Amino acid sequence: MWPGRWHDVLFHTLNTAFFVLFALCCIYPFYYILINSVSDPLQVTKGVYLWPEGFNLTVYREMLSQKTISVSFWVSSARAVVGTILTVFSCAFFSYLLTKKEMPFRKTVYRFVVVTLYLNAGLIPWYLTMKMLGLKNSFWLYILPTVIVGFFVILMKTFIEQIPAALEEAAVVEGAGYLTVFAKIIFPVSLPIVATITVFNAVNQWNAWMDNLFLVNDPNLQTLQLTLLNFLKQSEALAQETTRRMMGNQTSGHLISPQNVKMAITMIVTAPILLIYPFMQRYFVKGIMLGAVKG
Amino acid sequence: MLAMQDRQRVARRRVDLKAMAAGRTGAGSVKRKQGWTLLLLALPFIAVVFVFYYVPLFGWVYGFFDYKPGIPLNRSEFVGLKYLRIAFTEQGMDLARVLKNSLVLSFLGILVSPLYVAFAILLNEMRGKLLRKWVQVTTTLPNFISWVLVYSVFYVFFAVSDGVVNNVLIKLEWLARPFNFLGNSEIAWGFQTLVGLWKGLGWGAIIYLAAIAGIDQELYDAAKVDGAGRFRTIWHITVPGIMPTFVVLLLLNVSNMLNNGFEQYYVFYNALVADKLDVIDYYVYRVGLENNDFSYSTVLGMFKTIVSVVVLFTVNGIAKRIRGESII
Amino acid sequence: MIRNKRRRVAGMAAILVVAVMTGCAGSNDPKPSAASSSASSSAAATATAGASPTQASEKEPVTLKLSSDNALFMATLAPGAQHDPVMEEIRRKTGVTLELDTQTDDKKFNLMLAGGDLPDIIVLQNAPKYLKQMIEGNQVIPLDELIEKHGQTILKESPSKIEISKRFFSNGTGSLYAIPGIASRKGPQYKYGNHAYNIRWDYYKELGFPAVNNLDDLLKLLADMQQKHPTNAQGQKVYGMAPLFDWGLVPYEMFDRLFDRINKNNLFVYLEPGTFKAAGGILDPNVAYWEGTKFYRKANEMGVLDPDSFTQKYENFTEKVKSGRVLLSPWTWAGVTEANAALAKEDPLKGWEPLPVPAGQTVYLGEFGENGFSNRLIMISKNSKHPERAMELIDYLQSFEGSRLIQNGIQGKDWDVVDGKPQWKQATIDAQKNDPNFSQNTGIGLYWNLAGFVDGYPDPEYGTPINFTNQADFWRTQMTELDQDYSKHYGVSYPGELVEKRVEAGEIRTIYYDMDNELGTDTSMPDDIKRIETKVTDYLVRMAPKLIYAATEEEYASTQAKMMDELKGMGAQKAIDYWMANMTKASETYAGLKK
Repeated sequence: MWPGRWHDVLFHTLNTAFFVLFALCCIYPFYYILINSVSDPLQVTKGVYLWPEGFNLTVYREMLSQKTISVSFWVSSARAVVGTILTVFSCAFFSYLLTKKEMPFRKTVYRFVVVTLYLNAGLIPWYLTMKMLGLKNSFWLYILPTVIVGFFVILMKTFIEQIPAALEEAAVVEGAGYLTVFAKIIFPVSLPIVATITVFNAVNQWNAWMDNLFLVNDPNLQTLQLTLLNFLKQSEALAQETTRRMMGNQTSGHLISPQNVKMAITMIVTAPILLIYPFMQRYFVKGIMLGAVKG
Repeated sequence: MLAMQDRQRVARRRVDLKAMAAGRTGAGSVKRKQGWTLLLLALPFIAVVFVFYYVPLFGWVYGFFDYKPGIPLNRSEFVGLKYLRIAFTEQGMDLARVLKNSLVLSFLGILVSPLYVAFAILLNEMRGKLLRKWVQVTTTLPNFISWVLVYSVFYVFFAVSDGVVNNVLIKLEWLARPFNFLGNSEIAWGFQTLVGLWKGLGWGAIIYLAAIAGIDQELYDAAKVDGAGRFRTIWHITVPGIMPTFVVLLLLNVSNMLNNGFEQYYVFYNALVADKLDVIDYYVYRVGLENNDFSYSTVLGMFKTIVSVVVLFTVNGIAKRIRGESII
Repeated sequence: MIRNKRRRVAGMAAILVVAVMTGCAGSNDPKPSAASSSASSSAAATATAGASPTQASEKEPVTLKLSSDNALFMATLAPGAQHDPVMEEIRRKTGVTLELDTQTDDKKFNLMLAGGDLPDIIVLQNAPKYLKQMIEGNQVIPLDELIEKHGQTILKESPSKIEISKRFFSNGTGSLYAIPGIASRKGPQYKYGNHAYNIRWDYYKELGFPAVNNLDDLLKLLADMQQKHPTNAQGQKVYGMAPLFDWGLVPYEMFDRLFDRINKNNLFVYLEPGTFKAAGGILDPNVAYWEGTKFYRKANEMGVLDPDSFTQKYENFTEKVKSGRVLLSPWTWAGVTEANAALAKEDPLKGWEPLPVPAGQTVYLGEFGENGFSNRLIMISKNSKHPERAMELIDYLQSFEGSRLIQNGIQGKDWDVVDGKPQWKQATIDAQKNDPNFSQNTGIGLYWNLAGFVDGYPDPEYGTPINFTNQADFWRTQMTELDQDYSKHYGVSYPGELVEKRVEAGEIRTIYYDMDNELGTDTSMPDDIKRIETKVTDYLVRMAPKLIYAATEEEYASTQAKMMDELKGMGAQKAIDYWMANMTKASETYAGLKK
């Protein structure tokens, strides 16, 4: 692109301006939540928009000093890592198999997978199925049901189908089998989409809590989100004490409001994601195919 | 003239690749045996899909009985299509309204779906690697804010009485009186679509960023050599490159039109916008759960699935007739 | 580079997996009933059994789980075993470690029912919804034999509860399945601040205590206050009222309860106080919904209705109360208590108090039931491995002794008997005022919902209410300056006394709901009626803004007329008829009981 052409400059100015503006619209609410979570609730009532007022870390202290917090950090991390590894490799390999036209019933199997995006029989059948499979109170409950995610298979298959067959050709000629072709060629070349589903799956695992709530009551298997959600529900209940028929004159000792808690939860849960996910960014960059074809 | 050459070049390259691939399909039995190996390799995954997605469908049977949790099915009364009938007669008006809302909101979502593509493409055009990375990360932040908190923040900003947006707009004299953004039923659909975009654009565009990253760099080099400008390159290389992904996702979204998700509309729902934001999922929640009417909500869920699958294969069939090949 | 990263990730994963799996392996072992921690303490207990005071349990320690169909009453507690002094005492007395499932909800409960996984003890809150299924599906066990052997205290102290349960909570089987808890009796209250017109006392004083003899006067009062204080200290606008429309039809409850009607359901069928005969229904143009919308319409016309009333959520409302942006709150727990605490720091005479209700209106005392509440039914599930211990625990919690412990804490530590009358120690009283974690630190009141007798129910041992602080003598010593100012102005010794005085003078009446009236209601609602109710509720909520924002009374009337037609078309009459029949049956049963 030739610098100096006026419509180039115009395009870049407008483009950059739009993105920066949109990014600010996205980051400001997040920033707002951050500063409010460390502000005095009384100040929050008055309106905190630019800087924290009455800076205090009370809500973080209270939340992070819960008994189950460190265990749940580990549990959520474990399920994010183990689950993602398993899911990504499974979906990737399965998708590769589905791109091979020589597989009998290929189209049927693929459609079988696509339809799963629309299947939902409700909580009770899901619960009973998991129970029947013996997954109650088990770590595998967090991993196995999402080993294959229809959406990821669709994404990967679409991507793999666009890889020039020449690449595979070369390897097959040299006598490579399906597994080798997958491991040495398809997978590395698919890194952009692999990175995508890695990030998606890791975030889903990290944020999951429903399976925990309904099927697991072992405190050693409690997820982070559930620990934090329990804390939130407690603080909401405290703020709405209709059942204790006390005199009503005692000081309201609720130094932290449910709002505060909700905001702090967002921060605690998002922080690790923001630390890790920039590492995935480089896979979204153009040019990854360059080396592959030449090689 | 230039455009023609570009297009021809790209097309020729495609034909070459296809020919090579076609040439690969050799003769008979070796290929077939290999085919069965593939199926064997795929079997464990197929099993996983079956167990975790299809087995729970046995629950659809609840829709045909007067099912109450706690009482085993064999002691419940079989009622056949009673709930289906109720859905269409007794609840007819309600269902119609709820369906309309769900469809409109889905349609609007589909209408704005090209924006995700545009976002990804234009983001890649941005100069300044660091700035681009920063923008990419920050635009995904709204995805991590729970809907409940989204509403809290929106309330502070869009409230009528001393809401920030209203204050600013009045000061700028763009508004004479405060406007009830959150309670105005006329703009409700549009507002929700914008909110959905704000929350999902950055995150959803990741898919297209990856798709773009997967485009053969040589095509870009060839285009540059031919002297193609920015927009021509985008039109002839980038867009065709991500088209398969876009088309597949479009098909999925269209089939998904009865599933709007629950949380967004649950938090933004209030008496003033109720007639516009009452979507199927929220309706099923109210009727099914709060009234313990499992059978009814099971029937509604079944209805949703059947409609989605029918739409999926119908649109796929139409696409096959138009493009010559099916999408899925 | 990529390979290294993958190796690192794989390595990390392996470590994590091993760590978690070893954790899992431990937890997969079936939990022995003698948990290791309590084994040592029980050993100590049995060793000193002879020397320790009379009531330490020599029983083997056991862990029981408790859940409910709704978290509502337990949500302030952390899930699992509890460690406050009251629970410790309960453990000492019964040998039972009680684990609470505090974050349960409707969905989870349904799953437990579907899977047959109910824990040892269930506290059922919504009997019409679940009782039939639980009994018919054999999810809970009959308690007749158990109570004979292990529930002697309940049989002695509250035989009527058992009779009633067999008659009404047995799904027609005549067996004992549920024990109704929290029996209470109506009595004087400290302040009558719930379902009241809580306003800023200092603003009222400023205006010279204008008389408020009807709702129009109330509107005028709020308008005047708003005029005098158009913005709060931060410059934000102030409005007279901001009803919580987010809570559906709740903002209309006040129009029943303050007007001599006991509200029953979303169809606006109400009950006449005393006899609890049914009347009304949404098709009656004088019921609370219409009265309420008319009132709010007038408020809007006068400019005292907050324009965000429909879009705000509960926490926004309490914020407004605290920051002085709204001038009326219907309940003291909705921001008023906190606001008073904050305002008192500025000026002890600034704060919220309930405006005396206009003459002719009523004060709603709440719900009471001498035979326990039908929305606290304690049951034992079929899955319990220790039903006898469960029964013993329930026996203790439901007894006077247990209830006393739950309401007041431990004798000698939290309260003492002085001159034959029990009272809280001064330290306890101070702690309640000053310690923000009072409940957790003492355990007092935490398990209110598990007690057999609460609040004003007379304690047979001492002749006082079973909650020792439920007495005027105590209240008089605990008033804030604001309360004192309020009481002085009305010539009473504590705020609630004003209501008693006015009742005696015939100015106002008090009404309450006797939970025994619930006994005769249908044990489960037919599905089609439920569907009609949902439809009607939805419709009323959706149409409320059209009524409230109507510009003139004529517009209101025409909208109302249209709505009436729509409601008839929805089958509202059918649902109303059902409820009339249901509640009439109930009131007849009630009359029979009271004979």
